[in-house]
Amino acid sequence: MLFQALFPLHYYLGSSDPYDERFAWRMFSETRLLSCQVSYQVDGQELNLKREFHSAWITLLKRGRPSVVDAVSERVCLTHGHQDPRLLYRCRELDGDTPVYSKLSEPLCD
Amino acid sequence: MTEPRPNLWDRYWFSSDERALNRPLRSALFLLLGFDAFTQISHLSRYGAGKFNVSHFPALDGLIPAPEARWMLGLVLLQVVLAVLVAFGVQLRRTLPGLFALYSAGYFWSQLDSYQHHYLVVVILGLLAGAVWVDGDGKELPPWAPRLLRAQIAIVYFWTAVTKAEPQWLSGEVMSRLLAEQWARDLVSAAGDLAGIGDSGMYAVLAWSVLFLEFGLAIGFLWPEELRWPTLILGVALHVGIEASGFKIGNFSYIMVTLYLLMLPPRLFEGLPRPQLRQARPEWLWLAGALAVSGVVLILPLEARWLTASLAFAGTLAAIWGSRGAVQVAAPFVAAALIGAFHLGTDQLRDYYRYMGGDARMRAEWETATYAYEQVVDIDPSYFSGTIRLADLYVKAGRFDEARSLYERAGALEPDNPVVQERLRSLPGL
Repeated sequence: MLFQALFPLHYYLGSSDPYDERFAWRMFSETRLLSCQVSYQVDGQELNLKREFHSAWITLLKRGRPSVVDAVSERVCLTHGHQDPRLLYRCRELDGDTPVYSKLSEPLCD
Repeated sequence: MTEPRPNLWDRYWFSSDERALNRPLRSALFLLLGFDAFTQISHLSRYGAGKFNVSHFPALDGLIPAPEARWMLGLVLLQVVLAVLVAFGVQLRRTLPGLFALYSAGYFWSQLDSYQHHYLVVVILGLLAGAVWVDGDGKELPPWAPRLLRAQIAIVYFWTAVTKAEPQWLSGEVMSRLLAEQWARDLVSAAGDLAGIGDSGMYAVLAWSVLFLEFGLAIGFLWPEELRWPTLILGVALHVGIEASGFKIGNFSYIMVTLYLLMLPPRLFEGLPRPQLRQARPEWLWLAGALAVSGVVLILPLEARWLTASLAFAGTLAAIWGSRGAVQVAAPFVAAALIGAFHLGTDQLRDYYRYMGGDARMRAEWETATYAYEQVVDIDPSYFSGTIRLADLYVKAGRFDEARSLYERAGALEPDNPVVQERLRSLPGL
């Protein structure tokens, strides 16, 4: 019970990712309204994510869940690594002005 | 020699006997959890789609296989069976940990399920499974279980309130965006005008009210004797209001309202008739119950039906072995009846395959799409769109005779729909 009571502190004290609210009982938080634009480009063309991933994963991408971004990026590298894949990813908070997570045109794969 | 006076800790947890709450709470909560599990079925086809997954612990992703829809389907059906067994008080030392294990596996396996209320269910199941092992005979939860659950709910309310102590919540901005139902928005506008503070002012007032209310509910759940009725009334009103306002949170409101049974005085339930737990009962009834569950699972057009039926059969037998009550023996029959009724009365299974087919089409996985739409048409032969989709897939595969037959069947379903004639005309040979 003590563990349960204190565990949500991880979000406030030690989380490297403020947009991952799992296990912190943050119901109806402002982070829920985070809006992200995400796209991958391969050989300069936009990748149709819906042809590669279930729409539920794309929804999580748009909610700014970095562990999902990392896993999707890893998959894109695996399948399109030879096509110079790049990630364009920009999230904005509720006020619409504050970019909170931004990766623009960085080479995706090592 | 006098007894040593119990310390504060012991007085808090063990001084009041609330065992009368256990049975109504257990029955209502676990029947609802069984229903909640069933309502997840249509969305299970997303698991394993494209052979992609991110678990709740990504470090484990390389070690555990990605879930597949059919495995999740089996898992969820078993959850339904076990939830009903728990609701009926069958061998709680077996069924509760079993349900906890299945539910945890289903939840943590993939971030596709990130519902906070499912995490709350995992925690509650863990607490109750632990409680019956620490202090219980397997027939009922221990007398202190209600207090344990209330403490957990107080924790949830406390941290949820902390979440709202942030500027954008307190400004009312978040609430104004989340409130979906027009009637609720109109009500806020009317109240804002009446109070002379406008919409935004009213949303801010509501946001502050929710913050204080949730802190108050946390305190109320910790001290139910002193704060029982205000907590009960305001808490139920909050969750009814959330549900009525159109927030998209699945069955969370219903689960929370059910948990408010914990705030009722135990004496209300002390007079409930208790079924005879030691009635004579022929051995074959156990077998009949397990067979009923398996039989109902078997008639469902499910991918995982053999596995599910086998495990449900074995699990039901294992769970009721040693049970002594007529009520407990009825549990597997009720589980079978519920699964059958939900199957016949809802579109969950049709939609499971429909979503699977639609998603597979997006990724050009034609074989999977064809299989899924064949199931859709098999389950619901009167479903026009599914019939057309399957026929289209047959055309793509060069199976023109089967496609023509399906288009004609679709034409019989919707004679005036021009799509059918267009499709028929486009077939080779016409």
